[in-house]
Amino acid sequence: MKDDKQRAETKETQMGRRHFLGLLATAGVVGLALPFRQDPQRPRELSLKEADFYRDHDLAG
Amino acid sequence: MSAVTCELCPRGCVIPEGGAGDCRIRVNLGGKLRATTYGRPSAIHIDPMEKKPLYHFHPGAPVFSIATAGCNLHCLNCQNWQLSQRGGEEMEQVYRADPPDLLKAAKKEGCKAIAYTYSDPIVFYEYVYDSGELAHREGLTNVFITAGYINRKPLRLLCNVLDAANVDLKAFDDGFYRRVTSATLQPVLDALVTMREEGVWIEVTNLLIPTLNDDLAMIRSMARWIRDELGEGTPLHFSRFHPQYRMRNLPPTPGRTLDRARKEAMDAGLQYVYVGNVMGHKGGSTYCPTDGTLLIGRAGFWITENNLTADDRCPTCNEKIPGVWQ
Repeated sequence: MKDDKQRAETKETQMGRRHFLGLLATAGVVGLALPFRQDPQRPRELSLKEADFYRDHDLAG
Repeated sequence: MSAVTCELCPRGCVIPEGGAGDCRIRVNLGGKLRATTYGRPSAIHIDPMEKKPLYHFHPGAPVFSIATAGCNLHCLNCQNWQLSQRGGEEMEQVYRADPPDLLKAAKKEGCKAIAYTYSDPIVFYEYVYDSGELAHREGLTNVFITAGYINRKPLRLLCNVLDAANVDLKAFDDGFYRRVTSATLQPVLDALVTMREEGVWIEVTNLLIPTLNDDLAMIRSMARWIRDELGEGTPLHFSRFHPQYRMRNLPPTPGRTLDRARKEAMDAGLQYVYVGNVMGHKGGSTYCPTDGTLLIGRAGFWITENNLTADDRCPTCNEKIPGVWQ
């Protein structure tokens, strides 16, 4: 009985630790990715080198 | 923090802290007026000068043409509404292009002129001014494609850097301006006169919209005003309307309407009246007003022949043809 109880506690502790590590890893990945995330509310900024000045267009003027 | 009043155009927007003017891009940041699209154009193309349209200014020259988002007019028939009726932050993309970057790119592509066009460049005034000043220092010219809804004082200053302008005179009727464009007529007429006084080469465009501004009596009045205030040698372009944006209920301008308008304006005394947006139309070429000699032949935006003499005269009768040709 005592062994079973001890085993159950150990399992609970292990699961808690895994859960914590999982959260930590997720937070780390999200934290690292944040600076590279495109804000969909903002226009994409391009350098002039990326422009095709001779592309057909239908703008008047 | 206090509101600021934008004195650039006749709207005179009073902009609260953190707010934007009617054009969407001139904002009040900490009590100071700023243009959010400075150095951030959303459209950059190299077009022929004829596309602006400018027919008497460096014919055939490639023009480095730029625009940012925003406009101080809200025309129901705007062809460029996806650019003009948005703020800079609403665009899918913008280019990082401060004035020195623009000049560097224009020169690299062999362009001798920069056009501020597509939307109304009045709203990105400071960007035009700084780029224009730099362009002059580098030996390039500046062309301004506008509806001319601007106050006289800032326009006079801007004329220091402008070489040519095509002004879209949308109708010779204040009611049309109010109903269709959300602007008024008189400031546009004042702007045309100011540009003439400041020595900017001017061409005028009038987009003819069936039933709204194609009345021949109105066209006659407009042509007479241009003749008297700007000069009989001022080129006038009648342009064909195509249904779009919020004006899809009207048909394209019939060819005969364009022909009648051209005849009416020439009968009123204007010497160079063109028809635009119609491929292969006779009215797309330049003729000598004295003897009818074909001076510059055009097919669409392309020059097919140029018969002007080296000193810009008709090869037949020697009449001097107004314009900035070389």
